[in-house]
Amino acid sequence: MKLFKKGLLLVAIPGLFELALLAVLYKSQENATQAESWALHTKDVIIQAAEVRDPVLLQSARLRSAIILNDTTGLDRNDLWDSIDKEVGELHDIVVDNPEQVQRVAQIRKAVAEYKAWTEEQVELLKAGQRDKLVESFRNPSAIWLIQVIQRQLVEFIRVEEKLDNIRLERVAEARRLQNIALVIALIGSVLAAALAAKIFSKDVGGRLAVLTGNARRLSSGGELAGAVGGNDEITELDRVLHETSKRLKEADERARAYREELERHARELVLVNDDLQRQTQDNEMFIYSVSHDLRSPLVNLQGFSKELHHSIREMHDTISGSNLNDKDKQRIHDVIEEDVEVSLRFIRTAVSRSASIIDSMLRLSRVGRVEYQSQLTDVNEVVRRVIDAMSSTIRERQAVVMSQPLPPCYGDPTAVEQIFGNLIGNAINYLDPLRAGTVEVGVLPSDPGQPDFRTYFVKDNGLGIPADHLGKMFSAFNRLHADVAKGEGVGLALIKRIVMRHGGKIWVESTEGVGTTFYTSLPVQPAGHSENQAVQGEKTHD
Amino acid sequence: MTDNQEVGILLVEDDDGHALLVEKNLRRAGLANGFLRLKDGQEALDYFFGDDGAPTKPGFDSIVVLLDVNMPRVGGVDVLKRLKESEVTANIPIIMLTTTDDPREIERCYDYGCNLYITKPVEYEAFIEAVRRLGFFLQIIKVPTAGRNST
Repeated sequence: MKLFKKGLLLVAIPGLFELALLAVLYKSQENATQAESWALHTKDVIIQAAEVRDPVLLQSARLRSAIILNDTTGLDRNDLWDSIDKEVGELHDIVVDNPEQVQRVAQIRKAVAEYKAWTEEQVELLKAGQRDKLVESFRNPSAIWLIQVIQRQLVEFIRVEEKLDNIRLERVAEARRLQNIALVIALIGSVLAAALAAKIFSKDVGGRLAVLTGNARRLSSGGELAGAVGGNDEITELDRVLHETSKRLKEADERARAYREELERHARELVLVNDDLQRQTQDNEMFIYSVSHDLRSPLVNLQGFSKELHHSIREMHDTISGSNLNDKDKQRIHDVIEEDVEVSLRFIRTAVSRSASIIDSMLRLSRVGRVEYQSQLTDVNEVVRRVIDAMSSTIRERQAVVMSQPLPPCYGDPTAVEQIFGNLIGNAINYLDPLRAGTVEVGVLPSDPGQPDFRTYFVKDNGLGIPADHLGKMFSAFNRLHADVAKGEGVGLALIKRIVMRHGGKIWVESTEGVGTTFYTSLPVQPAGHSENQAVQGEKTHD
Repeated sequence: MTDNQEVGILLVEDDDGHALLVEKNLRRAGLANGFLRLKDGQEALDYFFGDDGAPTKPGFDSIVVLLDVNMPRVGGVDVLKRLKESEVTANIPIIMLTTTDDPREIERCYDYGCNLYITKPVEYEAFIEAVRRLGFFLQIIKVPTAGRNST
């Protein structure tokens, strides 16, 4: 049932009650009115009865006066009898509904007729002048009796009517009383009915609205909803919607949690994989370290004993020179020593030196992964200045120009940062194109809002450049592009890539062969895991 | 600086080649008197300590130990530790010889009380120079009170 209907009922129930009581009231009112009209009717009847008596008495008086005056002139007139007839007829008419009274009226009529007959008889006597007879008949008590009969009958009639009147008045009073009672009952009843209806309505609607409000509140705070509200109206509908919403929310929550768990699982897996990779990298570095370390030991022997051989050969040479062999043999032995043995030894020593320097590079490379960094806010301007100072002679030699923009500080190990810039600037200078004036520019890219913790520095040159197919191998160890231009084992970039990665940064290169090369490296500007506001502070420090 | 006070040199080295090279160069530098070579750390411990763990002699006044770091069984660092732990042997000058120049390992050896740390250079000239410096060093530290604190 809709709320509108309920509201309507709220108004209609006491209304109906009042209507019913109104009907009762109306009925009792009608009864009272009817009783009143009956009472009035009775009064009319009594008056009418009196109306009958008057002409009878008048006729009697006329007769007597005629007798006394002996004048019959007035007796011929029939007006009084007509009047009596008329009045009796009217009396009959108004009591026609009461058979008892009708019968009485008939008796009255009969008595009047008898009296008329008697009166006419007396008039005849008077006209005939028989006064004696007249007096005698007057003395006859039956003559008086006739009038008395009429009068008595009228009195009786009136008495009956009065009795009726009393009864009817009582009825009127009773009806009035009932009417009052009905009025009071109607009043109280309608008030009670209205109160009852309002109470039922408020208990039904109010109670359910409270449940609904509670549900809405719980929904907003994410709690468990109470059971469904009964009924079949807008509140029930709204409650149903709330329950559905709650269900949807729970499902969404469930899904979100599933996603979150999935993400967390992936994150954990990634951490594990990352740990594993780190361990593998460490293992590899450890392996490289121990292999290169172990290789050093035999190299010491190779180098040492080749030198020993050299000493022995020199001794042999001196011994032969001092011996008494003929000159031809001496020359022959000297040639073998100088051209074969010494040359062979020189090749061995060169190979050993080369191996040793490769092993040294490997050791350095493996040590990058194990050395402990003392990270701090490092003034990159200062670092770059030191690097340029250290290379000033080479720069002058190559007639190159090295420019540096003002650079923001980075957060890293000062030695490691110097290694990075030393290597990049050194490479830029070493691989300049001798055919044109060399320029090297050190700068920084605008800060990237997506990576507030990092700044990207660059070292740009107009040197030889790197062929496109070689760009991918730039950061691999022992991979040298311009081996003829500068000395080295080709571990510099591999080394600084490892350093940059250990600082959490990245390094990459863009180059066009014959035009120039730009190396980019992103480095942290603040300790890892710092929050946003510290990021802002970090920005401020190098503003 | 008299001949009878010449330092006895104990070389603990598992690599025969290295041992021979060290000996040859010490000889060439005139420092080979009283030279003894042991093949690993265990032999060195057996030389200094008896079965009961007590020192075999009341003192090792005129001895210098050249100790290789990487050896099988008992490594040079362990020998160094044991020698510096015992009161009798604590004052023996010890020179660590190794192929590594890892600063952490060097620091570790100095922490344990080694007197000198020499990286075995592959460059032979440099190695000879190192051994010469070693010899010079050995001649300086002949004083009996020489020990950790003297370096």
